[in-house]
Amino acid sequence: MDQKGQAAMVVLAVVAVIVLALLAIGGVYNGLVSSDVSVSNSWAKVQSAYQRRADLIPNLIETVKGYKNYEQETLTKIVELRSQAGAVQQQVKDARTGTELQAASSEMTGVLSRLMVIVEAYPDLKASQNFLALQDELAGTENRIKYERDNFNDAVKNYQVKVRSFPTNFLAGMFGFSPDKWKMFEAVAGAETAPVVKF
Amino acid sequence: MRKPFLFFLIVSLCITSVAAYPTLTKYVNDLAGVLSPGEIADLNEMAAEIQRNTTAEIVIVTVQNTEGVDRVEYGNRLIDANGIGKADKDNGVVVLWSEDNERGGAIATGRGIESKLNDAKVGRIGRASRTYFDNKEYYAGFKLALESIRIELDPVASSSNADDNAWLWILIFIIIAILIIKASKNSTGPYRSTSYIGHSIMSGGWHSGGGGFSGGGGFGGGSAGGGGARF
Repeated sequence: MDQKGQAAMVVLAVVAVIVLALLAIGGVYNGLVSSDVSVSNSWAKVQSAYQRRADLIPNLIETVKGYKNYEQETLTKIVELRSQAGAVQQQVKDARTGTELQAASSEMTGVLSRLMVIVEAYPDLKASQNFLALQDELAGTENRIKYERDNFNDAVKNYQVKVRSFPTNFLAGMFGFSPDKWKMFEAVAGAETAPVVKF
Repeated sequence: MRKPFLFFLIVSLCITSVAAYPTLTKYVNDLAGVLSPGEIADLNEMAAEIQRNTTAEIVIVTVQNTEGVDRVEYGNRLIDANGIGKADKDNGVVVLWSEDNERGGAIATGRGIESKLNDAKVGRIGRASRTYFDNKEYYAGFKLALESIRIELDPVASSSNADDNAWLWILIFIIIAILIIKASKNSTGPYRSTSYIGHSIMSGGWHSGGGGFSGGGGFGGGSAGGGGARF
């Protein structure tokens, strides 16, 4: 082969290597993006579950308020709880981080506990169909929160494994995907206890 | 030579025996062995009909235990693991009964069907079925649950049953009879026309019923969000 031919071959080989490298890097980048978006999506679902609880509880208080046979004093307390629940509902809406969500959520738990203390004194209310339905809905919101948190933690796990594994970790740093971008849910002291509905 | 092999074999078996959610098929999965084949076929047909009328995939599962997982969560994990419910609608439901470990049931609902089958409704349905399960009348319990779910999903269609089909067949028979009589009065070539009419109606009429479900999985790819209630 003559010299010009050889030079052309070398250029071609270099170009091929560059193209392959770009494709490989592109693949890694897309994988990171996909994982990041997955976590983002899971986070939205967690917020949605917390929001559902926050929206539901004021409505449930309305249902309890509708019971006919309260004494005036009790009714006043329930109305007060209703407005407290409304305030916490807004708090949950405004929460931006996991910590804020959990803090707002424990406030809501407090409202709920105070409601249950009031209801304790009315056995025929406790036995009514409406109240059984209330129990189901409350348990349902707690279940959903746990479910979405578990899914979120799984998504974060996948993301962190990707970002911290060799050799992706070099590229991840370059592209701005830090392993600390997402944190898994940890049990915050007290916030994890579901409202203890004692009957 | 043998000892290391055995060791690795045992270790690998231990790793693979970590709790994975069972693979389910349409529509009845009697993993605890409490239903008879006739009952399974019957419940299967009920669920298949609900799928035909509403596209919702209602799956019945009995298990020996839920491996320490809360029953409602277990049902939801089953929906996610098997993709129960249509992918665009997420209308899957699992009606679960667990024999051990706190004997009880749960109805888990997919994301998209939660509005029609909210927690309070499935809780009520479950509690109504519970008395049958307590008496070990599993078939009756599941049947009541399925029927109640069907009513919630499609109050109009739930009134249709075999009686309506019977009237349809009587009507078809009358039409055939009239056509045959008309054709036989026609003097030009009666036999050909009657047999042709009779044959075409017969071949076209036998297709209803039999919802044709593919065995082994084949669910729509739906997902769950943790909803439902235990009973």
